[in-house]
Amino acid sequence: MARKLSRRMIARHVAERIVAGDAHDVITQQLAAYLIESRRTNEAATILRDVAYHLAEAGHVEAVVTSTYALDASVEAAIEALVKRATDATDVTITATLDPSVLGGVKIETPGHELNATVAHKLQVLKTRYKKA
Amino acid sequence: MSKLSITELSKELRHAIESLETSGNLDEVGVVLRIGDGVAWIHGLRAAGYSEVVEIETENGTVEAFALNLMEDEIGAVLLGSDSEVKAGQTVRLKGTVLTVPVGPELLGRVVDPLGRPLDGKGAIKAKQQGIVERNAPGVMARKSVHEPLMTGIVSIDAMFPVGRGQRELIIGDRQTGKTALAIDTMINQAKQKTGVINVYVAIGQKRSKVARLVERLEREGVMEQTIVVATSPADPASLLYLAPYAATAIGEYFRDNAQHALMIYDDLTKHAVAYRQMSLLLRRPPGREAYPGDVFYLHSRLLERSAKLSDALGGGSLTALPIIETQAGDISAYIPTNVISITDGQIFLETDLFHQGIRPAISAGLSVSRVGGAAQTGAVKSVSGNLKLGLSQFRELASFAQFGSDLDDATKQQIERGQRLTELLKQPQYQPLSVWQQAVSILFVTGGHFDSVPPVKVKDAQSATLTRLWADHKAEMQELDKGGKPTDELLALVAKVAKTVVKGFEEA
Repeated sequence: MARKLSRRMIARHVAERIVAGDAHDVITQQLAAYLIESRRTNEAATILRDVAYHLAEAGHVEAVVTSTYALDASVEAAIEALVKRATDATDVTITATLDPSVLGGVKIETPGHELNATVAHKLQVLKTRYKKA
Repeated sequence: MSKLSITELSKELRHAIESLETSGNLDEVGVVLRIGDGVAWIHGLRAAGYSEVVEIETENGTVEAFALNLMEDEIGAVLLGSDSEVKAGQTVRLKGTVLTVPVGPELLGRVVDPLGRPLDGKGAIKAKQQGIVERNAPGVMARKSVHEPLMTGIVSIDAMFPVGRGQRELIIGDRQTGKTALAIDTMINQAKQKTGVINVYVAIGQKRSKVARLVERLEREGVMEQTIVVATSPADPASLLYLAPYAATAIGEYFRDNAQHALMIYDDLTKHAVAYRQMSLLLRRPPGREAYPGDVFYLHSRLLERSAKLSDALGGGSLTALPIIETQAGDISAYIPTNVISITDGQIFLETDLFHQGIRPAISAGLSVSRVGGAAQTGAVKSVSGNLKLGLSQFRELASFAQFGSDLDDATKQQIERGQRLTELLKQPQYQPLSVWQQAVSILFVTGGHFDSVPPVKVKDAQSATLTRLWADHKAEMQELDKGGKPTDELLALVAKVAKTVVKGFEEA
């Protein structure tokens, strides 16, 4: 019986192929076939998260930015610069999402890192702090 | 209730909001993959260190956990609170610190949990310092050999198995044999004799009613002012039971490192090992003997190694440990008992049979030992208790032979009779620890042959009467003896004279 591959190994392989420029549809099809065959489809989300980690290590970072209102170009450029500086990335892709529940401010999520400067988060921290006291 | 001021409150709130400013840096985060039985499996957080604290963001605030399993694909973290709020997919943040607990004199008289949160309803603890829960033990050069006595007030212990400051002396025995009672008496003695030793009592998975009774007793005896109780109950998560002795030791270390003396009572380490076994099995670590994990020895050795007598250069403070272990059917060769026996500097073994015979404290003279306490024994007690342990062990052996009713020579008969009197003398009611002079002269009553004419059943009454007479008529001499020095020949003669007079009223008709 073949040795079970760790998630990290699978993710590294997928990330290396993406960086090498292999076609995305071929990679996803092969990965899906492997996960179904090895009955590990429930690990798909985690593996993709690991792929994002490896891509970030290779300098390709996708930053998901959540805010209440749409970001203007200058803010987007500032966020891109911040992410580049913080992660040493060579290539940053910004994916903006709107979510009124954050109340205000902005949340930037990169693989394994986060900057939560939303009002909702500040209130949550305040709530916990006062609950403990 | 303190005066309520909205202006003050709003100032505080504004300050709190301002202090929550965003640093502008990206925090390292992970995601909860699975949660169950108080253990969260986390994806991400590659920079997490062993025993580092993480915060899980739930809908109702954050829940803390500490990372114990660092694996290739995920991290196993043990929750410090309830797992009911934690769900898969929630964000986990590295706190960037290891576990700490408030330490300092502000904790005296308080009952806290292993995270330093008050359990006694006496308000917040405003400690100025924090102690690291998992701290390394002092090194070789930081230590000094044990040489100062830590009087327990229990004659049989102070005479036969003396404990020194900085020593680790195990109290071991079956359930209901008086293990906790010995520890409580030792705490009471520190207050009665005004030794200045701070007591730190750790209740590991003890019933809340038992802890409440203990605290009430300590308050009644006036000991609570110099005592800190760290309590966990069977209803608490295993993580808190696991942390309790380490957190309490951090609290005790504050006093040790500030040139003071502290006494740690771990009640009990059997439950601690069981809590650790539960955590380890849930973390899927391989089970070993009795399903305990492979590092269960290290669990207790690293804890007890923190009890030490510090060198003069470091202030000369000390941390003495009295760990308690509960055995099953008197089996001291089980896994955890043998581990802790080999870690500590001696053990006091309590026997069920002795307890049921009314010999209390039910200390087994043969199986108990103090490996380093001899150097710390008070001169007064040491000078009169030379052969006490040997004599008592021989008596218990001879007494079992004498049950067959065979003829005995005079020397053996005398040894048995003296042993019976000694056994009676060493019986001691709970909550009544004796001072140094009381212990020294009491032993002298029997070993000096002053009570040879007193029937064994009247020995305790004769002891009490003689002690009262000595204190009433020769207070100055007894106070001198209480300082701990070796008794002079004149003093020995005085004790003999008073004993001779008093025992006349107790002789057999």
